[in-house]
Amino acid sequence: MKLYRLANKNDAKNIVSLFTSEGNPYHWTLSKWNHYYMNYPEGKPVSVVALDNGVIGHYGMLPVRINQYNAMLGVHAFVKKEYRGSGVIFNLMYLVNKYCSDNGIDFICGFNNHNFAKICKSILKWNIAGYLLFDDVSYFDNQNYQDRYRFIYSQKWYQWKFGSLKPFYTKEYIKDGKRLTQLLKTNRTNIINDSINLWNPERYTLTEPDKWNQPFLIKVINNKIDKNVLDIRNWYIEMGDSDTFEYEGD
Amino acid sequence: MKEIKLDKLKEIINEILDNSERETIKNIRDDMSLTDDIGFDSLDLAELTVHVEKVFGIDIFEDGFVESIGDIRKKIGI
Repeated sequence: MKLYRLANKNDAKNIVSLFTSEGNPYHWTLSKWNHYYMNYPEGKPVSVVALDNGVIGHYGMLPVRINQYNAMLGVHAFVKKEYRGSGVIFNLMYLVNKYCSDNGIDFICGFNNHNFAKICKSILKWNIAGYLLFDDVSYFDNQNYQDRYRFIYSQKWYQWKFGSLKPFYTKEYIKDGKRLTQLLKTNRTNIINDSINLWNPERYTLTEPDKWNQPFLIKVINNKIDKNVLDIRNWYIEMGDSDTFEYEGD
Repeated sequence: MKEIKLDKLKEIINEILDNSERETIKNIRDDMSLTDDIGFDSLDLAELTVHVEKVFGIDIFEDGFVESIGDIRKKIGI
């Protein structure tokens, strides 16, 4: 008999064991779990678990402010291999949706991988707001996007995420043998670089592009939210808003 | 009519299995589990719901999780 409930600190070790049960590509440790679930500065993170003689499934959420909305960023979805397809994620999400509904959350958003995006759309009834295209530009000015929906963070968050306060944060990344400088987050306008890789707000799309892209999804909890939230072209999203891009320091 | 719809459902299932070079099924029964008996994972179920909705006009995951062929038959009324 599977059990679904909110996780607590005592579950941390078993959750990390679940995350590392098929290799450990995201370098999970107890310390990383504490970083996300104990030290997150923007409110109380939520972690839900599925149990069946141990932790077999997990879904996490980090509180985020999106303009006038209380939202959650969905993170760390994982179901043990032998339980996939048996409704575990469906039941985890039922609990997640109920938690959000009971706690005044307007919507959940997520940077899901392509496969999980398909599952979220078809089975869990999330909306694919659109796709963020990885693009190389030689000039970028974020001034044009100030009126869009965006993740609004405190200085404490920048400290938590990047370890220091700076005008902008970049990360070196190698793709297909090519070294890229990715712009994770910027607080200033007129960034100029020989070539900088970012999610170009001019090229967000509603249909999946052929090129390297990241889906962005939204699960509506409060049906009264502005429907423009569901269209990625009304957003300004930076790579650093996603939990996928972890800053490694200079 | 029900037979035709059931055959169509089997065809959809077999198409998903065949696309990833898995063994197709010869018969379908109400008590067959989509995961344990047919071998579907979450991604297959996502594909299944898209195809079923396209063919039968019914969203099988609209109000609950479907686990068996019988669950799908009930949802699409065959």
